[in-house]
Amino acid sequence: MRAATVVVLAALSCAGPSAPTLVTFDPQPTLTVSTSQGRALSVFEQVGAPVARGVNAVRLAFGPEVPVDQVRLAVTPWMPVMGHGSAVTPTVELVDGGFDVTEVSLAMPGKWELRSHFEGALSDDAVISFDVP
Amino acid sequence: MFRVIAFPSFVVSLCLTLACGPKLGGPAPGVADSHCGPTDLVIPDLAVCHQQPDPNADAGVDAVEVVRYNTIADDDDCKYHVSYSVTPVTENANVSFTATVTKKSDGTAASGAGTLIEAFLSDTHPAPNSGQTTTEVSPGVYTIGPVHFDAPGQWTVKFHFYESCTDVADTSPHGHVAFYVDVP
Repeated sequence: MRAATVVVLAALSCAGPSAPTLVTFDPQPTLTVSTSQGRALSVFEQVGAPVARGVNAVRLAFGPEVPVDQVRLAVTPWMPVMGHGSAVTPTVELVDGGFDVTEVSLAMPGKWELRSHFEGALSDDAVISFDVP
Repeated sequence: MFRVIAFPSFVVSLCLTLACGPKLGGPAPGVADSHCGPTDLVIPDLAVCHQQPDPNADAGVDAVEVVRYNTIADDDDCKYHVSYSVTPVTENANVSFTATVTKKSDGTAASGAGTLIEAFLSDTHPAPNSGQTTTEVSPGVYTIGPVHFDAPGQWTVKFHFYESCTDVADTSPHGHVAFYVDVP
């Protein structure tokens, strides 16, 4: 019985969910781009973690004059000179009036684009370019 | 009953080993790759490495990726023959891969390929950043790591070759091949 208890306890102690990663974005945008409809879209990078090869997170936000409660965003990483994107689709979450885009997987150095498509209460597109070292 | 009481440390040790010992994963076994026939070979040409795409062309979409089993396969475009080995695979441990890359056209080493690994569990779950680096330990032989698998499942490990070359020309040295790796 004791041995069985040890096995159970040991087995339970072997696995466990990893802690969620907390993402904090710089309050100042890294860059601002114009969308195809002429809206200004600001791009915020993580504090201490500018976009680089690997898994990234960015925050995209319009100004306060653009309500986004009913807006959906899809982001596609793309390497224009390679003609391919990423195997991983970024996750988008609407947080405090902006879009937190996580799991942005940029597997190799070079010029990447985050092709961003907004739909819902507004329809718009933006291309955000990064030179990944 | 007496024996269990007489050797409790052995029993506990055995149980701990059974319960918490490393569950090793590794390359997923399956159908051997044979997608490149004799007429499919492509000779990579460094002269077209930096050919630029037509700026007016539609960017298109990614081709459907075929993922290979075992540890030997040709790259998607039949330019390279690739084999790899991997250190013991467990969840939440750093793993190192060694890939040997040769040109299919003549069997010579594909040197200077700057081989990279892109690993993901699903289209929403990439491997976390792990400070991956690549070392070409001998011509065409690359050690790449660490790669960190942070969840159990069947992962895709995609090797990228000559990623500094564009993928515009069919004969560009740029290439990739993906393998399944089981993580217990």
